[in-house]
Amino acid sequence: MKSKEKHVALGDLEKYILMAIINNHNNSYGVEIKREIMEKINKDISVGALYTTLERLETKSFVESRAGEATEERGGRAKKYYRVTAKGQNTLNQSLNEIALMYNLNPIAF
Amino acid sequence: MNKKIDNVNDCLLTSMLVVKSKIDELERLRNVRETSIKANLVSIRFKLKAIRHRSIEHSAASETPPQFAKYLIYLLIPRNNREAILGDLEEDFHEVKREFGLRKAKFHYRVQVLRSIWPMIKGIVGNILIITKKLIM
Repeated sequence: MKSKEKHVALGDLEKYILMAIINNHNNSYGVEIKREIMEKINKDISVGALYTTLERLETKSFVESRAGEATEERGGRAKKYYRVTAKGQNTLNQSLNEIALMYNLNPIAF
Repeated sequence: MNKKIDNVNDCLLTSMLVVKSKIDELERLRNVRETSIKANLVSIRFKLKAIRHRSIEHSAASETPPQFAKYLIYLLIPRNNREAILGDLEEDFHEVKREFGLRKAKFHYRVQVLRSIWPMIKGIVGNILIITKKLIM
C-alpha cells in the first residue's frame, strides 16, 4: 500500500547538507557542514548557497536551528546550529532508498 | 723705534680682537646650529612616534575582513541569516589568514562574499528584467 503522505523530492545539495549534519552527531553549524562536504566529496559550496538551502530545509521542517555560542574569531557573532528532524531523516532515507533501488543495491544498508 | 713697536702692538691687538670676535661669532653660530639640530631631532622623534602609532592603529584595522565586502552582505542577505553568514565568513577569514597570510585571506573573503551574493544579484536582476518586460509589453 502506497503512503498517502506527499513525497518531497530532495535536491543533491539538500541531501549532502542533511548527511553532513547527521555525520556530525546531528548538531552542526555552517562552517562544519561546509567543511564536511568539502572533505567527503570535494565540493566547495558558497556560504550563501549553504544558508539558502538550510533555510529551505527549515521551511520544509527537515531541520531545526538554534543559536549557539559567539566566539572572538567570529567577531562576536553567534553560531547557528542545525539538527535534522525525524521528518528530515525519513525523507532522506526514502530518497537514498530510491537511489539504491535504481542502482539495484540493497536498500537495507541505508 | 718704540713708536713702531707700539704701532705693531696696536695692530696685533686689533687683529687679535677681530679674531676673537670671529671666534665668538662662530661659537654663537655653532650653538644656534646645535640648538636647531636638537630641536629638529626632537621633532623627528615625535613624528616617528606618531607614524609608529598610526601604523599600529592601521595594521589593527587591516587585520579585519574587508569592510566593503562585509557591507555587501548587510545590503543583500536577509536579516535572519546575516549574523550566521558573517560569523562563518569571518571564521573562514581567520583560518585562511593563519594558513596563507593576510592578503590571501582578504582575497578569499571577497571571493566568498561574491559567490554568496551572486544568486541574489541574479534574482534581483531577473526580477527587474521581468518587470521591465511586463511594462514594455
